[in-house]
Amino acid sequence: MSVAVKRSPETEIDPAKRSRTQPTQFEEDLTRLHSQKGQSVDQIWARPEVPSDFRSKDIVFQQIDAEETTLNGESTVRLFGVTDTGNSIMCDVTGFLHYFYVPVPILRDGASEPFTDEDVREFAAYLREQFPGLAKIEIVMKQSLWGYRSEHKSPFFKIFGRDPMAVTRMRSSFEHNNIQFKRYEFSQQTYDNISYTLRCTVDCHITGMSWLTLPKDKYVVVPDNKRQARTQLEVSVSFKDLIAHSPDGEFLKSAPLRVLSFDIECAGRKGIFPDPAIDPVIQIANMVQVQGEKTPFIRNVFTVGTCSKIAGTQVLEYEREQDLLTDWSKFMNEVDPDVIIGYNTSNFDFPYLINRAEALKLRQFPYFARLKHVQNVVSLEKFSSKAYGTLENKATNVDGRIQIDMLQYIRREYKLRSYSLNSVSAHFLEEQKEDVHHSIITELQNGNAESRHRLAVYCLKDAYLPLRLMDKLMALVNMTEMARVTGVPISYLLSRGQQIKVISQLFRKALEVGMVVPNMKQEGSSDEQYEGATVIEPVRGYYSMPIATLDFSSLYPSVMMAHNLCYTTLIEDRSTIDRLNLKEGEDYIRTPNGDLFVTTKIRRGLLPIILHELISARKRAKADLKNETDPFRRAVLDGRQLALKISANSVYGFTGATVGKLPCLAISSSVTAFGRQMIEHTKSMVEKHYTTKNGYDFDAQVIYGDTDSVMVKFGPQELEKCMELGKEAADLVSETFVSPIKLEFEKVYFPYLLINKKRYAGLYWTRPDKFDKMDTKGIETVRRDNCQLVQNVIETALNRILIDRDVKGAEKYVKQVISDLLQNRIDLSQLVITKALTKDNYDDGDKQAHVALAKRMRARDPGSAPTLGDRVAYVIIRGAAGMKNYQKSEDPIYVLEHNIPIDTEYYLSNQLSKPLLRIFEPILGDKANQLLTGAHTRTISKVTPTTGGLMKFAVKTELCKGCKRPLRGAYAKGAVCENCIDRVPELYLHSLADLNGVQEKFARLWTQCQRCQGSLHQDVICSSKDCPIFFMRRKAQKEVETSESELRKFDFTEW
Amino acid sequence: MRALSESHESDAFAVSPSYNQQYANFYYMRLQMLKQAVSEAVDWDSPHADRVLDVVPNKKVWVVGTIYREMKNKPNIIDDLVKINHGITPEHAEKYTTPQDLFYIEDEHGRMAIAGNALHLSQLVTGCVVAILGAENSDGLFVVEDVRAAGIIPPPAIPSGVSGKKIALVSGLLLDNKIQESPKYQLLVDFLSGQFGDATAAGPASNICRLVVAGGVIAAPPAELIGSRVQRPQTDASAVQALGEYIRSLALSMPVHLMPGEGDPTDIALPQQPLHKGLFAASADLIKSGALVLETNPLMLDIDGVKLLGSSGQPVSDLCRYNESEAIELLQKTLEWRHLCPTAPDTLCSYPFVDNDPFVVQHAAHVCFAGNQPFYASKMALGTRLLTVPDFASTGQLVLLDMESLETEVVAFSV
Repeated sequence: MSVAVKRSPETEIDPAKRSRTQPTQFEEDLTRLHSQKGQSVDQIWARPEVPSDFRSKDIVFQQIDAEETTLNGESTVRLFGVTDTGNSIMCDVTGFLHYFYVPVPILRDGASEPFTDEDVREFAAYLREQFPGLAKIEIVMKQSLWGYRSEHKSPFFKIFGRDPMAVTRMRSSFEHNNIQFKRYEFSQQTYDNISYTLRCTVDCHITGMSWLTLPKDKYVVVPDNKRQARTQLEVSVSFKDLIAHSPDGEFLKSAPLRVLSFDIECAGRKGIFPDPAIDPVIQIANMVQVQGEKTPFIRNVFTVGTCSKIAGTQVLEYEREQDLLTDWSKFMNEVDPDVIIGYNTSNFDFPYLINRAEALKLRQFPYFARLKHVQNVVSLEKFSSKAYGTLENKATNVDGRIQIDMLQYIRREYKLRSYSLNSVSAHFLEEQKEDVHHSIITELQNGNAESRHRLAVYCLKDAYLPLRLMDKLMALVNMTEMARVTGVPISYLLSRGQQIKVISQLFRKALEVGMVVPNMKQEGSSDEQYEGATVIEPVRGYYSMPIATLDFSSLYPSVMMAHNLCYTTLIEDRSTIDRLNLKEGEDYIRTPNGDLFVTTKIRRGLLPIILHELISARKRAKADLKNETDPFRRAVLDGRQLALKISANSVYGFTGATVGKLPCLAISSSVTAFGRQMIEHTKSMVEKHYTTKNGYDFDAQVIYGDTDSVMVKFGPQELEKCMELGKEAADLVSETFVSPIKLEFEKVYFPYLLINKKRYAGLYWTRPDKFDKMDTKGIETVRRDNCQLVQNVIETALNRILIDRDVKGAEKYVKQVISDLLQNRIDLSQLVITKALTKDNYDDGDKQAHVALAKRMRARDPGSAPTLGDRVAYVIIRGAAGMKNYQKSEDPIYVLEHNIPIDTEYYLSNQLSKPLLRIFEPILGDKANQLLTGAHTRTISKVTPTTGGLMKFAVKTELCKGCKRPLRGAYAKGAVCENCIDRVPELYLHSLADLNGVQEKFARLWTQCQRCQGSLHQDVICSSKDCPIFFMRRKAQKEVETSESELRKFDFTEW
Repeated sequence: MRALSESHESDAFAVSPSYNQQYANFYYMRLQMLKQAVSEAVDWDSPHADRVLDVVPNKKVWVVGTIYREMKNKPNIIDDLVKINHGITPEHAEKYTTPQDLFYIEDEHGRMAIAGNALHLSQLVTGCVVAILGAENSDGLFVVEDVRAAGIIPPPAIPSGVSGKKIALVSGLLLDNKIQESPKYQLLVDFLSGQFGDATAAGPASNICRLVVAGGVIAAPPAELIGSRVQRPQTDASAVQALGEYIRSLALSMPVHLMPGEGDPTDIALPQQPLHKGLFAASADLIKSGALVLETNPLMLDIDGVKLLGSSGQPVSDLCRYNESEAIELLQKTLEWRHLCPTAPDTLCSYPFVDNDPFVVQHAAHVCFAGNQPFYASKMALGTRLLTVPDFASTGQLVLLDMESLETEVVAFSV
């Protein structure tokens, strides 16, 4: 559901009018969608029939999800997927036993007495006695991943359990030293701890979203009476018989996956966020599209009550909400989507539907997962990750289907000011979206077939937008490629952190080379820190000459590869050196951090191999991308190269994750230490080489360096010259590094404004004729608690400084805006700050401006006050002395209606001053303060409020427009006093100019909203506070009325 | 001979502004006022769909509705604000239309995308009410085969008693306080007052009984961007002074009907209300005597039974941005649609009317004019004289209209 916003009072809707004015928002789109498929409105829901001769052929399908289960007492991995003919399939992979490793023990006295076959049998009997779940024991030759000791492999028990629980119990028993067998001393270290599903997919070489072949005489079709799934095909196959395809060549393709996007509307009560126990679901809009196609082939809306025809859309009308819900659940199962998406579906739509069905006692409803007997249940998931922070989410299982909540996806992938569907659509799709508040939704529902039609069109748009966002952002394609590259099921990508992706790759590689991964106890704390990347102290300032930037491409991966840093190459036990007679510098190296690693001469590390594969695969993908013409394959390849890049970069983080699965600070600290050394080395080399002494025109200076880049001021003013020098320097320095570490010249900043560490701005040039873009880092124009004014002023000032290279112009502009601000000439909408009212801050956050305001508004009028989930917009108003800022928050609409004075001082000192000083200090030094305190800040105008306090007792006297003296007697109703009568034409023209300005604004704003809602004949009911013109149009209405009445006064003046 | 009777129907365009409503009613009233007339103009055999939403695929029907034309180059205030907020003056395309324009027809119930012959579609503009004949094709678009508008209302015969009389029309004087620099302004005064040096030229001037000034009277200063705020231009008081003096010199020889136009010191929203009489304080006597009449824009004027309907040109100039057609053809279109400015309020600033659309043409006119056009053009259409009055400041041209024959001629003043 869309994040709803309070309805504004300006759009009082006349119910009589409601009945005739009806909708069409994006009926235009709907018609066009319709047009491209040429289908009738009665759309076919079911999947294509399974080919009748399928039994005579191999089954080839793309698997999209995997989960573990028990079948006839036997562990099974259940794969869900779609064949290339578009049939859904569930495939039970049978016979695969879970296992783990423990080293074969030595005798307590240290004597080497090999474990005989007899011993193994006895040991198995011993274990089985305690653990009936033991399946079998084998002895295999393996090597631990951790640390270099020698090349020799040693014997390990590979202990198989009948089910994953048995494996867990046995492993735990070993780890707690509870195993007593003869005189053997068992290691408490076990190896290969990984979930059953991953174990099976790793061992079978199945990666996420990859294709499988089930040979025709190997799989078994599950008889109808034993079927568990709703898929069209249900089969089982032994893990030994299935053939996994690597996702290349032909198998780069995607099956025709069905993507369903939906949105629900519920009829809430005034002032209360909809509660599933009470408030009914009144509409559900659905769009179903086949992955890779451009338009949805199913577009429908389920409505309670009648609803007028909608172009290209099937309308399903219900008298009772119960029947709507029941039929929607049936619809889900008939359409059988492979992917379900929506916006905020995880935390709103799914839980609401499930809870609502429960309130209505619809027992059949929560069964739209792919397994017939599995109920959809809402659970609370707390998810912590270093990369994403702690998130608390609701989750609803839809077994066998992929679920992507576009809100969560976008939150993870993009940093935005606001994540409301409106803002996100405006940002990515460049269109504003109508936003109808839930209180209006109820009114529309209670109207007639045409008001419900309007609501339905709105609901359909909210169902369509997630699809368009998914396509635009390539969400499914990119996630598919990430799943293929890292091997994990796609569902892990949204529900789990970064580590699982590295683990999956590590286990796959370890299996290949006969290594086992120690099960480390997670005992580190996240506070444990190691020295991070180096930052060369910035020489702050404004550089009006080109600054060349030298970058290490993929610095950390290349350091790990160049120096062979890995778990498998780490020499932890220094006696190994003597024992194997290793020579420093030849057989092993000492990192700047003091850790020892063997060189590739002795052994090639596993992580470097993984990295090498990722990076060469990325090169291949990029090369293929260049030659590929098919747009879908291009998208796939682009997603692939991106996934490979992200994966390569996450390997380093994995080794440094102290609360992680396999932290190894020797690796991560060494990596950063090499990085620091290289940055320092680059700096000194550049500064030593490019000197006047060596015949150059200038002495080069490194003005800043951070993690993987170094900024060099070579001196010349000419871009070409600096680009040449940059290229040359990059090659020069690269030669001194171990391959594949490479310093690259990528870009020149010109001009460049270096504010501080990780804070800078500059024009970005990669070729000398035209700059690519303006690049800014760490300049918080997107901070969400900033008002729009801050963003505009900072962006404009930077444009003036960097693009126009007009520092004086920038100063003048900033002063003008500040002067306008202090004189109340800045449009209110630019001062609005918007924040969502969430449960957390509502309960304990009285001291937050938006929460405090919500409570005050509730006291004023519970009906119109924002409720949980609403976005609260506020401005800071002038308050009594000593009032805290949060007490001075006020509803912008209320401010407009009552002429409440804005606390312009707050906006100057709390919002504008810091970011402005940050930009201007490097340029102007101490004089930057002048921007905030100069002569332009002396004129301050105050507004007289029309409400509250003394105003009740004041007698309103009009002032002369000329001299501002009170008008009296015969002149009281007019515009000017007797002394100013000569100036009437001039004053009239002045008032007229005001009126014309607001008349035009009024007309343009309200017609713009008509365009956006897609209808001329119906009132605008949108109340999107994220829209840049929402408050402005209300203000224009107010202003135009004021201006008119001001102008009218001239009719009462004799002139 | 100058004692002509005149009656004012310009009250039709007098407004008492209120801004408590949106624009939906404006369109609703327009559709209601025109629906029947448009339906009556239809001569197709196919059945009629009452509502746009009643159209079903593959069945040929006709339906009445308001056109909406989606155009990429239309000024968009959200885009403009982004620029203004960044201290950049927004610029708008000369023509709104591009080959990618999308067309819709809508009524109070819903909207439908339409397609078809470019000849049919390109003539249509946002806000005009028409009937379209066609069928929703298998692609889901309504393919237009033919279009009908309500049509021009034929005017009654020219009343007797106007023989030999002429009306002069001028527009785009664009006065400022430097008018003495261009002699054409004085020549115009001389011509109209019959003091023209040339004896042959004095002939036609002597029959002129009225002057209609169709807007564009003041050279308006351009808007200015200060910081991130657009400063609305304030008309220079001295220019108003100059206007007052000049108009007085004209009104001394014959009655002048003074309409405001684009950039003139009155409302910007259509219908523009008369210029404030206070701005012509020095001519209070002429106003009182009826020699100077401050009019609305648009204007409906009845002079001795000859009906003139016209505007200072904004509606036609705006239509030119939707179209490649000549202004005179678009002027004719407005009469056919029976709407003086269909593109208001979408791309033309207008008041939000509630219970009336004053721009709907309900009565016939003998003459329909549009001021401030780049050049003079004139044609007859179903008994109505159509006339585009050129901008005087750049062309130095005045148009004379014979009240009996409705013939027009141009008088050019150049030195």
